[in-house]
Amino acid sequence: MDEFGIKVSQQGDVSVLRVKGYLDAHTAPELEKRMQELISQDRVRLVMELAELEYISSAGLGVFMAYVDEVRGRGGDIKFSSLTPRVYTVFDLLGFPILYEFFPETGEAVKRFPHADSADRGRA
Amino acid sequence: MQDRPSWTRAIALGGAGFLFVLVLLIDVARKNVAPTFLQSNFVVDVLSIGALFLLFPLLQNVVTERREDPLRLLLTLVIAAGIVFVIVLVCVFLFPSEQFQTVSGWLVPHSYNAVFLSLIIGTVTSVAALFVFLSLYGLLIGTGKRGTRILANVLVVLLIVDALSRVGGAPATGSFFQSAFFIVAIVITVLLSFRLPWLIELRRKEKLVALGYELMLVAFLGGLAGLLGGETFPARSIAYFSAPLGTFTYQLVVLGCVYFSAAFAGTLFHLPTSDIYERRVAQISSLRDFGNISTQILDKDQLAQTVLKLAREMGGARGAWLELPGAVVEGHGQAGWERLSENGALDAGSGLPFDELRAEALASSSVTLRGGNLRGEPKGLRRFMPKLAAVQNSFLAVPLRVHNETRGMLYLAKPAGESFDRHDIATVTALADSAAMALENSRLLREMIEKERLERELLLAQSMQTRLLPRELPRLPGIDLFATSIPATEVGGDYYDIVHNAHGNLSIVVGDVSGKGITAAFYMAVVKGVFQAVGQNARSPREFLVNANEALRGSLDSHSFVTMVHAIINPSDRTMSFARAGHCPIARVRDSRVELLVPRGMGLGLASDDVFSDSLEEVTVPCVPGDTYVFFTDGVTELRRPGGEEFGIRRMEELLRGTSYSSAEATASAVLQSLRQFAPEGGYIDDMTVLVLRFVGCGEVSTAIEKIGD
Repeated sequence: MDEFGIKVSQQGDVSVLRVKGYLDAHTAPELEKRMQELISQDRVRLVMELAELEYISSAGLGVFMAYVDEVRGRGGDIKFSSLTPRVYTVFDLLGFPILYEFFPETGEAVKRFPHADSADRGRA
Repeated sequence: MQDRPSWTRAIALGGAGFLFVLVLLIDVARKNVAPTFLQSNFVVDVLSIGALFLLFPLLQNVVTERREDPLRLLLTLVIAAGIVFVIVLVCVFLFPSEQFQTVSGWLVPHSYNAVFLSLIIGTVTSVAALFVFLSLYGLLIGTGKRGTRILANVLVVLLIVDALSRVGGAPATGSFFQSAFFIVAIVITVLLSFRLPWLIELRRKEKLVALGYELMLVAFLGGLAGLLGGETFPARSIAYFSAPLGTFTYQLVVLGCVYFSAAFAGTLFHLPTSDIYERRVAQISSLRDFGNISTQILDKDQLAQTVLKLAREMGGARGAWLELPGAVVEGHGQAGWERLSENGALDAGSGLPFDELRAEALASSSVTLRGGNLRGEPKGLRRFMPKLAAVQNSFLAVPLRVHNETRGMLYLAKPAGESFDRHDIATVTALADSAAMALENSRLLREMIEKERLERELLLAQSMQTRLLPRELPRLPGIDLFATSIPATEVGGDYYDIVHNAHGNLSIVVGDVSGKGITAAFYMAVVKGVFQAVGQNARSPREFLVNANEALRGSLDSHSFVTMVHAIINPSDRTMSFARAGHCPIARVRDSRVELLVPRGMGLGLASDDVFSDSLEEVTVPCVPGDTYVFFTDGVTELRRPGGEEFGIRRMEELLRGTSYSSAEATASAVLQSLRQFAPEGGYIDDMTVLVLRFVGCGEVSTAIEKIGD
């Protein structure tokens, strides 16, 4: 199994977090830390690119739940992209697609954030 | 030595007193005849030496007791020499030297008074001389080297031989220097006076006190040498008392004066170096103290503060900083450094060249930088020249290493103009080594304690969890039920329960609480409470789950959620209704076909009641005898074998399809057995729960049992 890792890249004003490996109770705090960092820098447009995510436990799912309200409250969102069918099943069973948007590709997810970011910033 | 029995002391004193009395009697008897009458000169000398010999162990005791404390010994000497000096001085004024007459080389006392006084003066001075002798010897031998010992012993032999050679001889007032022995003795004393082993260990203040004592000793002994060397009453008294002892006394007074004069000069000479010596001693004892206390300090910050304070004191520095590797930052690769300064230190160290010094120190062992001047410093530092040239302070940077691994950095700074010497570097490096070890120890200990705490918490959570599960399941005719749960070693929170509700229906729940340890166990207790309270009255799974969502959203933290399947079996209309709140699919086995039922529904605690309620789908199925429903938790399908492969839903389907089992228990056992075969090592990271429900009838008294049984 591959090591857990997070790589953050910027696509315009959208932060893309590429999470790989196992996201469980041991690794979730690291994702949480990176998300906190981004949010504290007012980067609230987040795309989770999970193509290389092999496994997610309830602790991993909990991280997304914990920050979605704050992110949306500040005019941003958490979107998901490129999930493998197996990982998608986990999100799906739990009902995440009702609360979050899922996209087959990161580019599409990035595009779905409204472009008028100045207006959004103003609201935040 | 003080515990020497008092009777031996009494015997020694008594014996010596007796011998002195004998001497007195002989002196009285021969007063009016020749001093050599009946060889009495020999007898008197032997008796007086014998008396002194008896007193020897007593005086030796006094010296031995004080040898560890040179100042105390010196003080005793000062007091003794002072008393003797005063006695001798008084006698010089009170009695004329004519009390003794020289008759053909021998002294003849003028009166019985003179005989008596000579005995007293002779005894007191020779005892004092012996004491000076033993003290000098003790001081030199105490911590002296081999050469010192040999010289001191030669001196002893010389003095004894010189004294013994005079036994029975005529008194030699004023002619002491004629002895070749004595000249050699003086030379040896001068040589010995360069050796002051007892002086080195004294602190500065003590040396000042020693200077005072030495000055007094030189004065008293010098005075005595003058008084006893001339033609005075006391000088003649001791010569008359005993020729060998008189010589011995005079020689010791002179030698003592010589030695303490030299010692006075030596003490003056050593005074300026005593600060350095004291600092070295303090450094060594600090290191030892640190070694002792460091194992008792667990707290990292407290340990760091101790190291900082000691390092600053030991290096004689103005400021000290400690750097410990911080958390590893993903992507950056290199660990950052957390810098700690001593509490209350004025300078936080901003603007100081930590990065440059660290880079250099990590490449070698320790690095020193003398303010602004890089000459003689490690060459590597030159590349930082532009920045370092501006630095005025002196720096010492030492890495903290354990088994060649760097665990931190220690920096010391001195004001411009001061620098760190070789010895400072060596001591601070030694401290850095112990500090690295102590930090490592405290880290390991903290880890161990944390691990133990977690283990205890897990055990507590597990026993709580076990007690929350039903001990036995209610029975309903026509329904075959079996449930089992395997607790995990790490993450837990599976819950199942079955109750008869208020409407005469059977209410079944299988749930999974997110989180682990105590938190999971706590949420499980909440879920049980909700189920026991709401489950009693709920008419439908939808009603129950919507209520449960409402109740749990208030008590779960933002990271946590609960997934659940709830089912109600209604015997009156022979149906079962169920709904799924974010939980695993439900497997239905019918005629060796397996169907995964996944009605829509979100986990509990994720969304508001409206969203939750809108998403929830409830399914109602008829009770068909022979149908088996398997409820399970994700611990089952997500069970991993060491290679990383998951048990998975497909394997579960296959397993259930393979055979038609005769009972719910047999089905559950088959699942468990398959799980154990899949991952035989145990140590499951998540709870695994399997609840099997098999319809024989549908809760009413059932002829179906017999039907199926056939």
